[in-house]
Amino acid sequence: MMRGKMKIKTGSVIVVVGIGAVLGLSRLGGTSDASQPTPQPAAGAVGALSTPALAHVPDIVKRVAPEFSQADTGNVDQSSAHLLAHALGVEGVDIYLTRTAKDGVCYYITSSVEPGGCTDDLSAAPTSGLSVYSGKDTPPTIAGVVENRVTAGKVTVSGSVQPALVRGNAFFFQAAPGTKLDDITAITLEYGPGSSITKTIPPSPSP
Amino acid sequence: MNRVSELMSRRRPRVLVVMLSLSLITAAIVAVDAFGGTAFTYASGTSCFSCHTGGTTSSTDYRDFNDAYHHVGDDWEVDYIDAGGTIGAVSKSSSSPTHLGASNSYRYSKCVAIGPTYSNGNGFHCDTTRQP
Repeated sequence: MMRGKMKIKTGSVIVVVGIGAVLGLSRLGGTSDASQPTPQPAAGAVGALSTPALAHVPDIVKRVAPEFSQADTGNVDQSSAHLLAHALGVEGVDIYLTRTAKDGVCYYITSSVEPGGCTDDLSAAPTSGLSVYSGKDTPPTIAGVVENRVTAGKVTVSGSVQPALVRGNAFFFQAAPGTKLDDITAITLEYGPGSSITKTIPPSPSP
Repeated sequence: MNRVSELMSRRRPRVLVVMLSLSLITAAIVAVDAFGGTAFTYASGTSCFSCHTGGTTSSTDYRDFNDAYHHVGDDWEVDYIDAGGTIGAVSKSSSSPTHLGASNSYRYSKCVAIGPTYSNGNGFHCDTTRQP
């Protein structure tokens, strides 16, 4: 009789543990994109995505990608993470890139203020892969991803046109200390001799 | 009776192992929930008039990440405002979402439409993801 009760108790515990394990695994699965079908490559506008992805998903991508995985953007494929640029500016930031299920790209900047974003239309909106940002210890900066056909970049700061870094699909510019964010008024992307677009940066609204 | 006690003492380690496994699985579920954070939408709308004010959220004890979702190509700004009313961090972008993160101890944050093309009636929403 006692042996029978023990069997029932042990059996109940095993059933509970089994249910817990299934629940736990399903929750874990929900936080990873590993179970998602592999998204199609982003439009050929970003050649960096055709090179092998990083072996390990960067921490910033693990943390931010779930926020980017919404109906607007489609799920982010974390396994497609690429390092576009390394150790830039006073903060030594890295720029990472992933593709999304809706053929877009998302970029991640390891600044203390952690700007970033996603775009599905780099051709129609060539500067939509860039963020203009600043913080307490972060001078005004522009960083992000540009199309393959961009050969050079320039930034207009207080009326002065200054060169930006364009390396592969990475874009980076950092203003001199003391510059205000609203001193940055335009970004120019060049596509070769005589071909460029200039995007005006709207000023911040009055507080 | 002695035989029953003997049987129980033999099974007790097995039961303890099962109970320990249960505790570990529960802890893992709690940990995953904590990592996932809490997300909420603090502002949304469809017109320029509402998107310009955008909405605000406040936090001093959490690590928040803010994202303004809108039409790609519209220019949006996400701000973190310090207690003194100054902008502690700002990100302008026509990306969607326009993301700004890794800020805490701010007084409030806000999403603001700043671009020239937002009056086309496209919807927007601003989301905060909060992590303890």
